[in-house]
Amino acid sequence: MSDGIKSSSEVQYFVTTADLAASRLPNKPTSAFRVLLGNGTFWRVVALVYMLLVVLAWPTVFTGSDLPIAIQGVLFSLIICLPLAAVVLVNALQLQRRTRIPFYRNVIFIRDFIQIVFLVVILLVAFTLANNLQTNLAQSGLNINFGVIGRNFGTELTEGPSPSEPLDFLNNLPVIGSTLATAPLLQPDTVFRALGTGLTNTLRVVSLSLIATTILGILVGVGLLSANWLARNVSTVYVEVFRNTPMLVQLFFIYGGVIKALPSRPPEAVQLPGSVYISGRGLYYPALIPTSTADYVTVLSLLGLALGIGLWRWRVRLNEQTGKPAHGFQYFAGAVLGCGLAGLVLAFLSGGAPFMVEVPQMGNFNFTGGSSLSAEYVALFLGLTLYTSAFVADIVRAGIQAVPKGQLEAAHALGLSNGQTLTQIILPQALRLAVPPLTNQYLNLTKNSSLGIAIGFVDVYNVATITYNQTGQSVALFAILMVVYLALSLIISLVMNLFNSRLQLKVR
Amino acid sequence: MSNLLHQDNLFYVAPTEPPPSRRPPALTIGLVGWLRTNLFSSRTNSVITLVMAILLGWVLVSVLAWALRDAEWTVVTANLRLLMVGQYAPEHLWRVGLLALVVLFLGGISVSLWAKVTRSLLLTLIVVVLLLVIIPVGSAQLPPPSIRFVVPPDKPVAPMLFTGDAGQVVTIQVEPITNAAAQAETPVFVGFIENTGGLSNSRSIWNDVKTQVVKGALDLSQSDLRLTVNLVDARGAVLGSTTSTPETSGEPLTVTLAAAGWYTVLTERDATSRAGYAWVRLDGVTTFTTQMGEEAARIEKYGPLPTTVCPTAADCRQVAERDLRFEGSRSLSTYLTVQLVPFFNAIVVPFIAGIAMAGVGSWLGYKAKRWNSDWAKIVSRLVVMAWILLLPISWFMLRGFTGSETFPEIATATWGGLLLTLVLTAVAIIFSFPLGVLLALGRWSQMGVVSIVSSIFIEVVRGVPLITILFFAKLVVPFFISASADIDQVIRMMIGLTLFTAAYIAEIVRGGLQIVSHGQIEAGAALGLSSLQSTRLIVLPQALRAIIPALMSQFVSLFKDTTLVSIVGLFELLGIIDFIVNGQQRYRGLQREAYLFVGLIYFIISFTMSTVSRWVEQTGVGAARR
Repeated sequence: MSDGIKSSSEVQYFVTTADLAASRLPNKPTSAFRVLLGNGTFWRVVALVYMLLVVLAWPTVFTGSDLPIAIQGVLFSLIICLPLAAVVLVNALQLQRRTRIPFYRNVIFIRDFIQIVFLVVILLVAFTLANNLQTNLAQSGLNINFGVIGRNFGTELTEGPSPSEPLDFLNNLPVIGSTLATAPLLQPDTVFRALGTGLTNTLRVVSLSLIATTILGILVGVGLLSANWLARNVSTVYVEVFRNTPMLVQLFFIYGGVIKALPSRPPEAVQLPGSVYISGRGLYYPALIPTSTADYVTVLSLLGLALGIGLWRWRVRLNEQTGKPAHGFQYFAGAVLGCGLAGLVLAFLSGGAPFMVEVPQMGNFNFTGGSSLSAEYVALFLGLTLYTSAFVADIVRAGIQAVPKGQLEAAHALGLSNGQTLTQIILPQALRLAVPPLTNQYLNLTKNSSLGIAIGFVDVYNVATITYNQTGQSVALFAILMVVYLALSLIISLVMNLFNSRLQLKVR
Repeated sequence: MSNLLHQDNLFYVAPTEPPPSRRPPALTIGLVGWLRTNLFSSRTNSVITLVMAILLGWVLVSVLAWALRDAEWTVVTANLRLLMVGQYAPEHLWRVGLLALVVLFLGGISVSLWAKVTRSLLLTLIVVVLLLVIIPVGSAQLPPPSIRFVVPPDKPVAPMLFTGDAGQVVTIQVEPITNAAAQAETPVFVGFIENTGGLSNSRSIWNDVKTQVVKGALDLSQSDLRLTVNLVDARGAVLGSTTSTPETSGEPLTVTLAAAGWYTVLTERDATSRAGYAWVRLDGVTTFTTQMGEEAARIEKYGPLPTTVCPTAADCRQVAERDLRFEGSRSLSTYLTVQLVPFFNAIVVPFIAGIAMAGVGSWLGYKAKRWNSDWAKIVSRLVVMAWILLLPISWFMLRGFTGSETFPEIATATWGGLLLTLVLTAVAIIFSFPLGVLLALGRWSQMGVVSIVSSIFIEVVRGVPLITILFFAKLVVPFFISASADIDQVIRMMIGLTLFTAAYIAEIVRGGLQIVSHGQIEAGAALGLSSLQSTRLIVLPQALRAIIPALMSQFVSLFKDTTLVSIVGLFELLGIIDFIVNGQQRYRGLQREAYLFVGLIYFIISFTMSTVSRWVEQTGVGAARR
């Protein structure tokens, strides 16, 4: 008797005292859907196989049938739902027999019934849409053809990694040596490779923007709470202006109003210190070109990095155990710089400089040599960074404000300086709170990178649009785009969730 | 015992007089004190302050210098109608105005009728609508700039050709250039705020003249230029003429054209005159753009080029956009008087009308509130009904009906500017909110199928960029609807925006549902409420109340996101800029000014909305009742 009452926390039904007296309550009244969709794998598989069979068999059975489309749709959804409905009905009747509650008053039945109706409606809509799709495709002479990605891609792309290694984006991150605007136009041979090039470009701009956004956002976020009146107000104005105007307007302004308004001929380009030039065509800067001895530096720098991380962790542990100051970053920097220098010395001893610096040379119409970033890339990078960092700044501000004031006072009482308090006490706690909303902003940044199409940046969305113009395969391309962006979102969420779970305090 | 207490050497007894008050150190009070605490409190802070001040000063000076000296805001002031309502038929602008007045009236009533949150929301609405009603109606009355060309002493002036329609009024005036005119700071002669896009010969002549006069190399008082300017029609008949002497400009010649066709302005020097300069000014003339095929289109409409005046095409010059001159000077005061005063003159009447409408509404609302409570309730219900009815009414009012006389259909393709932005935002808000609540409830519900379907929808939509959804709405949706129902593109974009926002709203509402404690639902069940009743009466009121700020910021972001429809080819507030700047030659290269202006509009509206939402959050109106 008591079993039946206990299990009713989520299943509500009306019980009479007569029921209680008669002890007629079922032990576990379960929904038919719970059986089919919930815990029984076998029945789930059976139901799915059945649905699949109906969907597959439908066209062969009903092609050329005289029945009106509406009736076909109703039939289709009913046939799919029939076994479900049968199970639901049997279940309801069983319940009625066991509980003596009329089945139409039973919550379990009502829910099952609503779900069946919902399913029928959804199937009906899906059937109608699929039918319309088929008719429209037949009328326009198109087929949904995912083979479009193997098709020849007849257009030149203005930037991206070289077509021979389209997906090798690690070598093409814009840190060193991607000569983009000066490279000859790319002509990927297939749409697949073109999409790869576009994806690479998306990743190039997103990766750099993510880093820049984080740094700028933290700086401005700290500035929002600064004791310095000027810094505080400048930060506030920055955040309000960039948050309250659409990113597309900012992007257009940066691209059309600032970068494209610069003179495009090299002699008139704006020169920044260190042989960096900005013209209407892009940003030109010296390239580091590795020579034969570069491997020494690379290998030793990597060693230094590993050593540095090890040292850092060791110092932190030492600090936790003994209370001695950690100086982790100093040790890390020392290890990296030391090893890097050693690599340089070794390289020079073994036969000359490890890197050549190639300075961009002015030509009449373009720069030669050096590295470059296209105007579109620079504009999109700036747009994404400025827009998103305003949001990040506000998140950081909220995080800092959420740190209890006692922490700050305790830190001051311990004699920590303002800088130490910020970096050791406040930011670690604030960022911990800020990670989930930051994840959202990173996702937004990734998705907003698709706005590059408005200024002609060759990203994956742009390539898809070009392909659409060539082939008209809107449905297939839309599916591909969706998969790409969903995958990107998923990856970023996964990474940030991992980071988040590492960062959160382990509460026992 | 009591003796001990009064011994002074054992106890401290406070002096009867307080110690003399001392001024705080001079460095901690007043301006110096403020500077020291806020700007120079430490060495690092001083460095930060100095660096930022220098940077900020540089930025401000250069931006202001550009905005006041170099920027040509004519692209904004001359195109305000386009910016506000797009290519919505100008003769039907009154519909927009009327609608805006209705909204202002209702807003006015509601402001004084309802509670605080609604009040600030409605105030925002009133500001937005004022912007929308005033600017297009006012700016539609602004006259176009006149056309001017310089007559130099040594060169013959080619006949100027233009096309005119019957009833068009053309004014011609000659303005001789004297020493005084060249040196004086009068708007016309100080140098024009000109289009930089067109290469204007007369401007360089004029600059040259001015320099020579100022240097003393040219004395225009010696000139004896006598000009006769004739307006001639295609057959060579003189429709009117005006003459000028070196000192006095001729009488302005105003001609009402009798028929559509080609007309020519013939400028002839008097046989006796040798030297001198003059401006010839034409008002009311339609100019040529230099677009491909425009001349052919004109010839088709107005007949062949007149051969009586110009035997060959090279003998005449067609009045082009590069001849347009915006009067004004680089000095700020002249700039303000010439550029802004006419604009403000034009918008003052609609502005007052809008304010008056809102005022009357709020007075009525105030009165209704002070009547007995039954009346207040009735008025309140009527206003709610009016707001609900407003959406379909305004849709039909803006769109019109096919074949109607007073309300002819105006294709949505011609809608644009702020009007389209607001329509898209309003529709998406109104439809996405209930849809989002339903999706959230679906995801929250214990019904597996419903929950799974809602979750998939929400996650997929949230995982892809909005532009992909709009791409879907533009290119994929037509495949999924039956071929006979051809949905126009504005509606398709509305669907896209609505679905997109609904997914985000669903997540916000889910957050609200989570804060409602389970005990509340159980209590509802214990009281015998059905699950529908407990959702409607217990869960939703608490959940929705808690998410007002988040909803508001979602709506702000929706408002900003409507810019994306410009990529898909609609001419909303951002998209219309491309149309203005690249579609009209005289505004080429002025996109900076236009983007800044549009950015300002977006900023004003979304800043107001987000300030209101922050205020709602802080005052705790949005908090759940505990």
